[in-house]
Formats: sequence, C-alpha cells, structure tokens
Amino acid sequence: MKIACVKKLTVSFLFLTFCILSFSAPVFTPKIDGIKEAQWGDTPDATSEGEGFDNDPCKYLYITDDGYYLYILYWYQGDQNASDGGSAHNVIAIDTKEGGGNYDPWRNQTKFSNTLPDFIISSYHNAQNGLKDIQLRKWENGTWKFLGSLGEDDHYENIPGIGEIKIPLTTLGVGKGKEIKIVQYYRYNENNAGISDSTPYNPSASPQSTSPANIVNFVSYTIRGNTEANNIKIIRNVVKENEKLLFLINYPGTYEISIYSLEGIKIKDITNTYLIQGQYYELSPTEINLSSGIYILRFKRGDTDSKIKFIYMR
Amino acid sequence: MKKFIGLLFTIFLTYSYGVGKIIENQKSIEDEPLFYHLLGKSYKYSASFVFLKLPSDDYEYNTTVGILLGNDNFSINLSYLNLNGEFISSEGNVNTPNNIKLSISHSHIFGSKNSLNNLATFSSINLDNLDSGSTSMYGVSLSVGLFYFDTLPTISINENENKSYNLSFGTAIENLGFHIKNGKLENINFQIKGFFEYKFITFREWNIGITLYPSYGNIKNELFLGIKLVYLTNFNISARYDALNNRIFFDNSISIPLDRYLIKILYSFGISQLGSGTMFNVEFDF
Repeated sequence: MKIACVKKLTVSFLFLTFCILSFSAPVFTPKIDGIKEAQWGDTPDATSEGEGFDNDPCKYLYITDDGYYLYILYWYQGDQNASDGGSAHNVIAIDTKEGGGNYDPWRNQTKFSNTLPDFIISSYHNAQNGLKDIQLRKWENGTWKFLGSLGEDDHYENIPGIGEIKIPLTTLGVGKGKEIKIVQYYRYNENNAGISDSTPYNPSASPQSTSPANIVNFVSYTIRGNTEANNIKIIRNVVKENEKLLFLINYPGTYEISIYSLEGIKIKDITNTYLIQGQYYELSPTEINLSSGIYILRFKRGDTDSKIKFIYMR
Repeated sequence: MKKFIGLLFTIFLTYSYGVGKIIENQKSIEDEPLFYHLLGKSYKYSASFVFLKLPSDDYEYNTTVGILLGNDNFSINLSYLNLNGEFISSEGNVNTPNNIKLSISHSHIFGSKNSLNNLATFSSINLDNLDSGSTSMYGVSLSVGLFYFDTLPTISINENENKSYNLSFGTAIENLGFHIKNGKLENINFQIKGFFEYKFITFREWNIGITLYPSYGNIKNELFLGIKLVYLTNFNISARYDALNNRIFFDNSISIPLDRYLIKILYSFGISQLGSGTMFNVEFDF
C-alpha cells in the first residue's frame, strides 16, 4: 500500500516537473521585432489572460535565454486614454538575488513584498504626444539607479500587441542554472498609485490603477543557455582569386561585421545585420575589395566579440 | 670619445622614425625603421632584435644588421610574422601561413656632426613572401623619405657633447610597389607619411615637445598627436594618440653607453580597438 502511494507520488512529481519544465520556450535567440516566432511555443511561462482591469493589459509572459541574453515576450496594451495626458506604464521587475527594492521607483504606493526585485524595466507610452521610452534600473545602495534607456535592438513593442526585450545576462549578473523571478504589471496612468493588471496576476490590481498595490506573485525562470566560446566557426579563411570567405554562425543575432588590419585599424565596415543560427554565410572578393594581405574579420554581437583572421590573395 | 659622437643620431632618429614608426603601426615587418642606420656613427656595426606582439595576438620577429661607410649607412632587415589560429583553404587543408620580408636600406646624411641644418634621405627595397601553404605570393616595393633636422643629435660619454635636435620634419612614401601572384600584378597598400617634432620646453635636464605624424594610404589613414619627454639624451618617454583610429601608444627608450659598446632598449605598449600590442627592441652598436 505504502509502495503504491510512493509510486503515485513519484509519478505525480515527475508529471508536475515535466509540466513545469515544459513551460519555458526552448533555448534560442529570438529576433527582437515584436513578432512571436514559432520557437516561443504556445505555452507561456505565466498567464493572467482574462484577469485584471482596463481591457486586460497583461496577458502572458514568455521567457527564454541563449546564454548571453534574457529574452521576455509580453503583451502590451499601451496608453488607452490619450485625453488624460498621462503616460501608460508597463513595468517588468526581475529578482536575481537576496534583497532588492520594496517599492516601485515611480509610485511608492506600489509595494513589493516577499520577493524584492533587483532590476526594473519600465516602458512609457503617451498616446497624446507619441512619447515612447523604455528604461532599465538597478537596485543599488538602497535606491533605484538608472542604467540607461534600451535601444531599438534591445526592445520592440507593437502597441497594442507583442512587446519583446532582451537584457544581457552579464548586466543581470546571472548565468546558467541560476533561478530568477519576473513579474510584469501595468499602470493605466503614470500618476495613479497602483496597478491595473499583472502577469502573474496580483489581486491588488484596481480599475485605472487608482488603489495602492502590493505585488507578491512572480514567475520563476532558470537560466538554461550555454555560452559558446565562439560565435563563428571558420569554414574557409584562405581566400584565393574568386573564392569566397565562408563561415558558420553558431549563435544568431545582430552582428556588426568589420574588417581590421592586424595592427587594430578598422579598414571598412561590411554590414550590421541579423544572422541566423546554423546558417552558412560568405563574403565575396567584391565585398572584401582590398589588396592582398592578412586581415581580421570582426563580429560584434552585443557583448560578444569574435574575430576571424583571413588571408586574401586576389 | 669620438666613438660616441653620432650615436644619438641612431638613438633619436631610430626612436623618432624607426621605432616610433613601428609603434605607430604596432608592426615592424612592413615598416623597417627609416632611419635605422641613417647617420654616420663611430660604431661601424650595429645589430638589433625586435619582438612584437600585435593586437591580433600574432607575433613578429625582426632582426637588422647595419654597416656605416662615411655618411652612408647600409642595412639589411629580415622579419618573420608568426600567425596564430587556423587557416583553412578551399582544399580543406589547415595550414600555418608564413610571411617573410626582407628589406635592403640605404640612408645618407648631407652635413656633418657640427652642422645646424641637416637633410637626410632614406630609401629601401622591400621584398616579401606570403605563403598560405597552397598558394604563394611575392611582393616588391620601394620606400623613400626626405627629412630635415635642425641639429644632428649626438651622444657621448662626455656629457658636454650630448646634443639633441629641437625641430625636425619630413615625409616618406612607403611600400610603393606590387604583388605578384601567378604572373598577375596587384598594387601593394602604400602610405604617404608626414613627420613633425618640435621640442620647445626645457626644464632642467628635460626637453618637452610635441609630435605629429599624419599618414595617408590607400586603405588606412592615421593622425598621431603626441607629447614627448626627453631626459638628457638617453631617456625618452612619449605618448601618442591616433585620432583617426582611436589608438593610444606609450613608448619608452633608454640607451646605455658601455665603453666600446652601446645598448639601447625600447619598449612600447599600445591599445587599439582590437586589443593591445607590445614591442620590445634591443639594439647593440659596436
């Protein structure tokens, strides 16, 4: 009897584990373009669809990473009331370690308890003047320190629609195996005290976010991606006559590609474009267009920096 | 005592043009010091050895021997570039390429050690071979330069005979030539260089001046702005910034007269967008 019970418990535990593990999208590198790629899957890491106020502004969170960046895909309603003059406020709070801020950087009547986030990504949208801005803050020395605004390569929001952001794992100070906690919440008007909705849902939400809020529910996510030593694999780097330089992309992303001399002088920019994982790419003699010699092809992708030496003989 | 007269020709000119130029580029293989054995020295023979780590993490070894005949200096320089990393050809072979260069140089000074206005010329023939394992390429080029110095620098055991120039400027064309591969010709990357140094502050044993090295080439341009500190005649410190390529270099040199010999040690550290580079040079005059 006891054995049967243990077996049932074990099966249930394994099933639950499977369910939990199967929530997250596979480890991959999404393109930050406000479009949900098939790899994100159909099961969000957290959902609150149908809950909350003001047209359900928070619906789901999808989370993944690739060993270099944390990627979050979410629903964003934007500013729903242009006439009030205030901005709508979408906030993603991330907890990476013990300690952290117990209040929202803008509305001190929005509190955190139990889980205290270390990072806050806030997105403003003002429909009246078209203002959009997304900012990153870190809890440091008892206050929220502004780290900077995210650029177009780091976030994209369709309003209303899908928003995507990426944050370097080095910025968050986390690596593979580390568990972090995330919550997204929406403020109808930046001047109001609380929140209208959140994912996962927090029941202190109020219509037009007028009441103070206490955010306690976060979703957990464990960093899974490996950091490859080389983003680029050389296929051919002795280039003669009309042959082409050939390489394989190990990790997808937006690469800034330039040619340098061995002395460290940038000779020319080649491109700044998104390259796909597993894809072979080539550089023709016309694109290189230099006299014969030894050069370096440099690939910059976020914080990563890969270099390929090549010999070019026309 | 005379044996030491003229040594500073080498020290200053090598430092200013030769080593300085090497450091500017963080490579010596294509930039054989223009003034390496430019001027007449009492030491008839000289030999130098250079170790260079490029920002690309490649290493270069360079050796030069020279002989003085009157106001003419002749030298031969041989360098080898050791490339790290995998080099894969279309045949699928993984090779270690070789890059060997040979330069034969001549320099001449119009003037004597007591002259206040001096003109110097430099010319060299440069040969190089790049072998990728499956393909070989050869290069032939010419470098020429013309320079002015207000005083010919000298060094001596007798401190009273130490002299340093205050103003110097010049220009050079480097590596004007072509590559040959399978009977086809192709232009080598050439550079037209300018040189200007003016030391206008004297503070006790120190001379302080400014340097300017503009350079124009078919694939790269440089504009070095720097300051130079010279202690007596045998210790140099300089810092230079390449405003066009965001590079900075710190250079030091010291020369030590030892009776019938002179030892000169040069060290440079540079930082570029690609990484850092260092150069270490030891020269013996005898």
